[in-house]
Amino acid sequence: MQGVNPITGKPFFARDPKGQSGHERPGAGGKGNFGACRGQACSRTHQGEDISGQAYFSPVHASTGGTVTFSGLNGSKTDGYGETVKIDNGDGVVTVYSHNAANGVSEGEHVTQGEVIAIVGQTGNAHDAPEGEAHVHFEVQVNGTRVDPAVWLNSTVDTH
Amino acid sequence: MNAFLLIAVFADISVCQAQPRVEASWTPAVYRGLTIGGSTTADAIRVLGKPRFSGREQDTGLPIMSFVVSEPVRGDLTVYLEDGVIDGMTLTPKDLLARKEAIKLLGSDYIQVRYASDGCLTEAGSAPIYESPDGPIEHLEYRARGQALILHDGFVEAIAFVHKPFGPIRSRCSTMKSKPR
Repeated sequence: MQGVNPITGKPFFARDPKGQSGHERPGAGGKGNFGACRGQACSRTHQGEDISGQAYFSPVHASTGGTVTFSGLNGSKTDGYGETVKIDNGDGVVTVYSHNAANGVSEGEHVTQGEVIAIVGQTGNAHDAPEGEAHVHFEVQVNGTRVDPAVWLNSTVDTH
Repeated sequence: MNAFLLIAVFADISVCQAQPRVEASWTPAVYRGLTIGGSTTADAIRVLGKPRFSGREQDTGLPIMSFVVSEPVRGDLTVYLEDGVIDGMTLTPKDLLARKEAIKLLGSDYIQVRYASDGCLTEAGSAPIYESPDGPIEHLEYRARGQALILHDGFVEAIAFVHKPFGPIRSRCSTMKSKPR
């Protein structure tokens, strides 16, 4: 099983060219890669990959098929993850899509890989991000552990 | 004579065992005259000029300013603020900076410390780190100067300027797991 890029809806992900749809966001306010420094001089690490898209325009695609286990505000419109969708593929992989403008799926709904589940936005902590930094914060958990989405998207994962 | 030596040896061992594990303590870093944990936002602007970006950090929402600097290497300097005081700084080199070159720059009086992320404490997209001998994050720390080289694949991801430890010495997640429900 291989996940698809949540912005392009197709396999594979490349960080560069940064800022273009489907690639890593430019990095104002902190770099967008998994493991990037956060907090007081790197006392925290970024747990997802920030993939650029156009706010209120670009669709967010389901990276894997599965059941929607969460769809709604996680935090608030100006704090935390913002509008978020969480999908459990039932095989040990959970994917999370945050800072959306709006979600198009509901909890309990089954989605197929590549299906549009939300629109890119700037909710949560991304609300005052500079122009050009709009993105989907994409997290991947494999058997309960967060992994680097950039690596995961470019590998065929056997979850058995 | 032999009895005296024996007593002396035992006395020496007991002294060694009684001593606590010595950890180098952190001294606040000073960058171009700015003291981490002491200097203010106004001081930072006076010394570093107009920030290239001023706003909040992604995911944590912490107030930050970033500047283009050339010391000790060219790069982007992110200044973290708390209540108008500089709480930390990270310098992301513009050009690739290899571990060896960075050590030449900052000196060999570092201690190597590894960290891992406390995944169960992930909040709004980021997780705190803790000291972990097998962790994937490698720091070369100059605690007496409040500086650290944060390495990734043999290259410097950032030079950090701090006034306190990066994280606790053990995972808080494992403590939470071991607590009886």
